[in-house]
Amino acid sequence: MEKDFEVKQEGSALTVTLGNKLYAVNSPALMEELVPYTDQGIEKVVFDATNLTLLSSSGVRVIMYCKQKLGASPEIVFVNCKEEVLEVLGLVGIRSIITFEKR
Amino acid sequence: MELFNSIFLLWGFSIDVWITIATVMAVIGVMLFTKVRTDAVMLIAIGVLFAVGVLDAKEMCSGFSAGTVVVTGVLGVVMAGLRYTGVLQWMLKHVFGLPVRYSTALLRMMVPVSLLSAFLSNTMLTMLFGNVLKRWSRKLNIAPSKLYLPMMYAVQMGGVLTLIGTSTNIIVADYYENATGKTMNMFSILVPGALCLLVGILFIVAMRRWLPDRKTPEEAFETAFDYTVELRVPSDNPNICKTLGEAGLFHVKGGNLIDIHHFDHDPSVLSEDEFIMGGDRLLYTGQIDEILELKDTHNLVVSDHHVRSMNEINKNYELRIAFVNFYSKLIGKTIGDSSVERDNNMVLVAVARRGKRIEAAPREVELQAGDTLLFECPRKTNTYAKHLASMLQFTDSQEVVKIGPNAIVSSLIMTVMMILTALNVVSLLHGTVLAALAMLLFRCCTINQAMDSVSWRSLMSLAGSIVLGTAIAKTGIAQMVAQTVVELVGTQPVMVMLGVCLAAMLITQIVENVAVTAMFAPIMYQAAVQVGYEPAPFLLALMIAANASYATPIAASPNMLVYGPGGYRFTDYMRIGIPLTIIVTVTGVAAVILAYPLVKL
Repeated sequence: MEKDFEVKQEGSALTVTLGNKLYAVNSPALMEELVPYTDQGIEKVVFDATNLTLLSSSGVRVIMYCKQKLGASPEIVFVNCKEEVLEVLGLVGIRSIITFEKR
Repeated sequence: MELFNSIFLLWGFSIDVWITIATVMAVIGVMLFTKVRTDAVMLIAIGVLFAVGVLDAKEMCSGFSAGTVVVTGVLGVVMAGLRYTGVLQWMLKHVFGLPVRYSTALLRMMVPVSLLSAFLSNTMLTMLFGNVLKRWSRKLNIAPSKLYLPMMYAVQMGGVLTLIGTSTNIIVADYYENATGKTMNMFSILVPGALCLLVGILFIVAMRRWLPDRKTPEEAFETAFDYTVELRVPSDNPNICKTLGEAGLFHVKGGNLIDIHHFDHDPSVLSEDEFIMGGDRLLYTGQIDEILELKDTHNLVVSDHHVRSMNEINKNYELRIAFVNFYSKLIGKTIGDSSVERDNNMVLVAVARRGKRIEAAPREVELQAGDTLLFECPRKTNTYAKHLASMLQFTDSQEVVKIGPNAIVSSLIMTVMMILTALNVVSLLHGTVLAALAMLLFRCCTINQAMDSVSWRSLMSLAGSIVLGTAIAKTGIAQMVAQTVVELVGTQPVMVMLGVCLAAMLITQIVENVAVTAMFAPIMYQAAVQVGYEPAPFLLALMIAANASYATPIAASPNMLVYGPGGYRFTDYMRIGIPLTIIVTVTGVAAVILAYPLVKL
C-alpha cells in the first residue's frame, strides 16, 4: 500500500500528517517510522488529522506509543479533528491527554 | 600416540579401549544428568569413536544400514495402516468392553495391549492407548492412575514376545547375526516372553492394590474448562495508555488473561506490551472469585454476560491439556521465559501439579516434569509437531479414527506378514517392506501418515546403539567384562546368564534400555563363549532383562509417557515396578533355560 502519511521533525516537535485512514493496514508502518525518534528529546507530537475519517485501535496504539514511549510524556496535539475521530478518542479514554486545535 | 599407547598399555588397556570406555561412560552420564536427545548423544558418541580411529568408516555406518534398523522404520508404516483404519478403536469397542470388576478390567486391557505390543512400537502404542484409556477410565469410574501403569507394563512385557516387538530385541538379534552369521526367528523369544508376560500380568492383578490411586490431573482445571470472566475497561480507567504489563493486568493472581478485544476487533497480539484502551474487553480464565477482585483493584467492570462457557469465546480455539515431558527443555523454566506460546499461537491458561491447581500466575510458574498445563490453542494445532511434542505431551487428542472396512484389510496384511516371516517363507525385512507397501497400496494410510509414523529419532538412536555395541565388541571391552563376570560368578552357565542379566536389569532402570542393550549384548555373547556355551539362549535372556525397565519413570519412553497423564510420583513406579522387574527377570532366565536347554559349543 502506498504510504499515506508524512512525518517531519521541527526541533523538538514532530508533525505527523495523516491520510484518510489510520488503521491496521498502515499503523505498523507509521509506528516503524516513529520508533527512531524514541528518546530523541521530542516534546510535542502534532497529528494533522485534516483528512482523517477513520481511526482504529491500531491507530490509537500509535498515539499511545507517542505519549508513553517516545519521550518524557510529550504533548499530543490533534489538528482539525473530525467528529467521528473525536468519538473514538473519547471512547478509548484519551481525549483528556490530547490538545485539539483548529487551523 | 605411541607414547600414549605405551602408557595406557602399562595399565593393561590400549588407548582405543580407554577412549571407548570414556565414551560409554559419557553416554551414560549425559543420558542420566542432561536433557540432550538420545539420538544426538548416540550420534556424537559414534562420531567421536570414528574421529579418533576406534571405528573405521564401514563400522561407523554399519548401524544405519543394518536390516533391523530398516525393519523398525518400515514397521512404523505398517503401524500407521493399523492405526488409521481404526483397528485400535475396534479393539476398544469389542475387546475392552465395560467390565464391572477392576481385576477383570485389568485383564481385558493388559492381554490385548501386550499382544499388540508384540508387533507394534511400544512408544506409539503407549501414546495411542493413553488417549483411549482416559476415556475408558471415565466410563469405568476408575482413576486413570490405576490403568496407565498396568498398560505401560503390558506394553513393555508384550514387546518381548517377538523380535520386532521392541528395539532392544532388534539390537540383540542384530548382534547375534553379525557375530555368528545365523539369523534368529521372529518368534525365538515367544515362549520365555509369554511365560514372563503371564507371570507379570498375574502379579499385577494380584497386587493391584499397590497401584497408586492418584487424582486425575485434569480435575484441577474443571472450573477453567467451564468458565471464563470478561471484564471491560471503562473510558475513565486510570490504566488507559499503560501497557497490560505495566498495569498488572497480564499476570494476575488465580488466573490468566487469554484474550483482549479492543473496541473495533482490529487484530491485536496478546502480549505484556499491548496498550490498554477504554472499551477493551479482557477475557480471563481461572479462579472466578479471585479474578473478579480486579474490579476493585483495577477499576474494571464486568460485562453483561460476564461468566460464560469457553465454547462461546471463539469457535476457532479450544482448551487443550498438555503434560511437561520428562526431558522437556521447559523444566526449571517458566512459560513466560519460553517462546512456546508465541511460536504456536497458544495461550497458557492454568498450571496444575499433582492434581492441584497452582494459584500463582501461570506464566510465572517454574515448571516440573509431569506438570499439567491448560492451553487455549487454535483448533488445528498440530500437537504432534516435533518441536512441540519434544517439550509437551498433549493427550486430549480429538483424533478419533472411525472403524472402516479397511480395518479388515490392514489386519489381514499384518497377519499375513506375521505368518510368512514366522514360517521363514520371507525374511523379516522382506515381510515388513511388503506389508508396508500393501498398507499404502490398499490405502490403509496416506503417504504423509506413513511418513509421520516413522520415528526417525528412534531409528537414529537404534543405529547409534548398534555401532556403540560394535565398538565395545571390537575393542575387546566385552571380552574383558565377560571375563570379570566369569571370575566373579564362576563358570556355571546359569549363574553367568543370571549375573549379566541382573547387571543389565539394574542399569536399565536409570539408563534408556536401548543403550543398555547395546552395551550388554556383546558382553553376554562373550560371557557365553567363555564358559563354552551356545550364546543364543543367553542373548534371549538378556532381551527379557534389558526390557524389564519398570521401576522408574525415566527407564524407557513408555514409562515417561504415562507419568503426566497418570498424575504419578516417581516412587509410584518403584512400589510395584521393583518386585515386577525381579520377578520378570528371574522368570525370564528360568524360562529361557527350560525352553532352550543350554548346549556346549
